[in-house]
Amino acid sequence: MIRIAAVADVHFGPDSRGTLREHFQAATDHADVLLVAGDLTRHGLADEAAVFAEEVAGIDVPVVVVLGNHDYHSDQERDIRTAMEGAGATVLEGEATTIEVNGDRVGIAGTKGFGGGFVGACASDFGEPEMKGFVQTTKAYAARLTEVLKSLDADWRVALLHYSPVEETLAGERLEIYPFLGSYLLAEAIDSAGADLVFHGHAHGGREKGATAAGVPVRNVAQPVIRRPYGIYCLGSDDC
Amino acid sequence: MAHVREPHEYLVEKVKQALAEDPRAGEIALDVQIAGDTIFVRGSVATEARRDALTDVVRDAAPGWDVRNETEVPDLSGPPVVENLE
Repeated sequence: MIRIAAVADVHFGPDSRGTLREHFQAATDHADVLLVAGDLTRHGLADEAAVFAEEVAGIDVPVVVVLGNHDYHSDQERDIRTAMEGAGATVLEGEATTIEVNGDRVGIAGTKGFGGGFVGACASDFGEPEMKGFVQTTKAYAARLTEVLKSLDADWRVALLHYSPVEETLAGERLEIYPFLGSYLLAEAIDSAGADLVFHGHAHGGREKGATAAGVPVRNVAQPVIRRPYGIYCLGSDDC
Repeated sequence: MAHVREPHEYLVEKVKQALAEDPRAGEIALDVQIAGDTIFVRGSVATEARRDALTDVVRDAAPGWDVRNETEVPDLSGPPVVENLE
């Protein structure tokens, strides 16, 4: 059994200092790992990440994060990564990590992902360089996600994204902005490589629960959606 | 040519872009609507200070309009929800 605490879109800044640390420390009582599905910061500033890093520093469970679109806004994503790694967190972008929990190996494949839309209403790799660049960016993220998921040698495989792989968890958002909230290419990657659970954020107005076409559970853990410091998701037990 | 008041359609997006791009805000997920002479802003933000700052951002983007900042700061004090997936 593995117990995963997961949250996204905490959007930290100096005014957030201390708001989650107590909750994260308490997570050690009922979770084996803490996952953060992007948008650690408000404006993508390293100083904001440093405040969030203080929240997770020293907690007694592994912390694994991906960055979100906000974390790229000020071109300081490398410094944000450094700040989080300095606090002991593992930062994934097209990468994977494996954690051992109670004798089980839990593999986490992480990437920010990108937009593009969903089946029947998505952008195509056609036309102007800018449009092709948009779609090719998502294709590259999805291809890398497939690779890292397949590379995992683990009992449980978890995909950690920022953008959504499915429409279902976007319900509540305006249909017109779905192409900016995620891409079916991420779900296709997950279904082709296989996974047990997927987390994402980004869609503040969406809903928590969905699944890929192949039935892999998808959870939108954006804090405005779950309205908790984090959710707890248990794999391998019906009595968590 | 007579002055034409900015159509609501453009003003809504002008306000939304200001909420995204203004350093006092940086909020890309808020809903903006106009009713009568009032601009309504709704959605969720992380702190009270950020909530308060939004009103100024909207007023600067749309001078002369009444602003109703109906955004909320979620209460995160509840216990975590646990889901068993198997």
